Amino acid sequence: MSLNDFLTLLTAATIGLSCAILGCFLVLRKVVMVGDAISHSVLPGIAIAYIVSANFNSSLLLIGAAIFGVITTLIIDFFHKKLKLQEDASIGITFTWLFALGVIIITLFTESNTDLDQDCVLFGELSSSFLDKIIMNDYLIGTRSFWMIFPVFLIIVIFVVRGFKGLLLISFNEEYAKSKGIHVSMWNLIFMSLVSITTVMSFESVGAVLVVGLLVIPPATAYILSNDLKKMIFIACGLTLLACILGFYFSILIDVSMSSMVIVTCGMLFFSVLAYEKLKKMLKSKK
Amino acid sequence: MKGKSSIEVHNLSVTYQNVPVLWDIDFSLPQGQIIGIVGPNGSGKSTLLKAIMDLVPISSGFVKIMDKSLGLVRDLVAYVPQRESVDWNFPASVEDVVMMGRYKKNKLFNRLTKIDKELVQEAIAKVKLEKYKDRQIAQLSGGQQQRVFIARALAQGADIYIMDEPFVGVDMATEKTILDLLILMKNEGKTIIIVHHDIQTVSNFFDYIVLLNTRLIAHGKTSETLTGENLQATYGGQLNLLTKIQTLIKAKDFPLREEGFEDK
Repeated sequence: MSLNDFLTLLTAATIGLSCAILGCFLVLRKVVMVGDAISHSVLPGIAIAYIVSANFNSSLLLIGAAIFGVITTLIIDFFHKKLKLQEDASIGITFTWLFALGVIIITLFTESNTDLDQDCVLFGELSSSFLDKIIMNDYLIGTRSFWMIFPVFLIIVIFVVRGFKGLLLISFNEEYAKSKGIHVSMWNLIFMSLVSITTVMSFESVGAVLVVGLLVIPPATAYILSNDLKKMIFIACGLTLLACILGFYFSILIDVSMSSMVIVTCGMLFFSVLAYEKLKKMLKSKK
Repeated sequence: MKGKSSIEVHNLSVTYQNVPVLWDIDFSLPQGQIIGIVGPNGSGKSTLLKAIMDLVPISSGFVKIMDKSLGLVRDLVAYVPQRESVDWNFPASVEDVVMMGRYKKNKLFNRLTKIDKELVQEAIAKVKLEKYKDRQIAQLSGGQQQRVFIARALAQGADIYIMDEPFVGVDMATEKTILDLLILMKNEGKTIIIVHHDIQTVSNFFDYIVLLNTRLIAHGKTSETLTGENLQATYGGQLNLLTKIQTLIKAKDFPLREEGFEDK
């Protein structure tokens, strides 16, 4: 494995693990579509960040872009709870509108900026992430993509480890958590902010559409395999790592986009697990 | 009414999209009894519990628990939501769920102590689920799931227990286990408030009842309150002739059944 391969895989794995951990809670709380909505509606924020970043440090601006994701969850809540619109309709309206707005901003303003185009918005490109290396005192300390996602990954791990009880409680039984006086809406806000920041930071590498795959597929697979939340998180992480490594080699083998190949591999793992469970049940019932 | 009130509800109204669900409810409940909140479907029973637990916005009025507002005495009140309100396929074991009873608002980031864990085991034992404590909650019967919820409330070590339809969809064995447990809790001086919709069993279960149908119809000792007239007012047109006769007979039958049930 060359250094570049390693750097690419490292970035993919860090993004994948961040998504897998958060995704477990999205799946259990049945708010996967909200995650999907967030990943799309951060686009205007990202577009603005890129346009302005000719003059500023873009990483900081990107955190600002994540605010769009949080606003999205608030708008969805407002439509659903205050205006009594159906939840799926609220989600559909909010994110498509913001996403379209983002596309318009990009097409209008990106002639002067080559960092961002519509293809990259949708699918991202992991395999070119190694090009942007950060070198300090002659030592290579990683790629820009890696250093964008790594702090977020650390925050997620700390948040989930320290706040595990709170997350478990509100994921299983929100009403009961409220009856204990726990600030459920505050927890939700923090959690959705993390989802939002993760999608923004992994945006260049995997794009707005494929990041949803990382958020949903490995956790959903792990859900089938486990009956304990901690186990589910670890299994989701393991599956993600496996998918990253396999996807990486497959993509080289048939020369296609790595991010897409990673998601396809996630999907294949999901179907294998489904088949395995089905087979196990069939064998059991025969006995 | 003797003693301090456990819960006092004053001029409480709750509306949903401008339609009143609860209208001007005003009562105070005694301590140390098993209290039923009874009424037909859609009469606002569950909403009343949620209003007491501050889970739905109140349009007017207030609720006092032990003469204090809920925020000050949260640890004294345990809420048992309807069983159907959660997804039982959730990856958690019986023990995990009962452990949630020990989670506290301000100690959410602390580790649970040895005492916490002992209280959890005790609660599991009280609902007779020791054998199942490591089992995933999806692999339990409806009655066992209900007992998990009650154990979680017990683990909280509260004085007042507020339960939303704990007898729905449970088997006879569980009904008996729950009832025995409730009486045990009552003897320890706990107050238990239960939302219940099945009028046939009201007289067997409760010492005190609140009859509700958006408005407060009546409240008081079961023996004095469960009259045909009150039931008619609560259930109105919803009772067909047969059940009307049944309930009237049951109501008349009442003093006999109440013997030995008195709590003085």
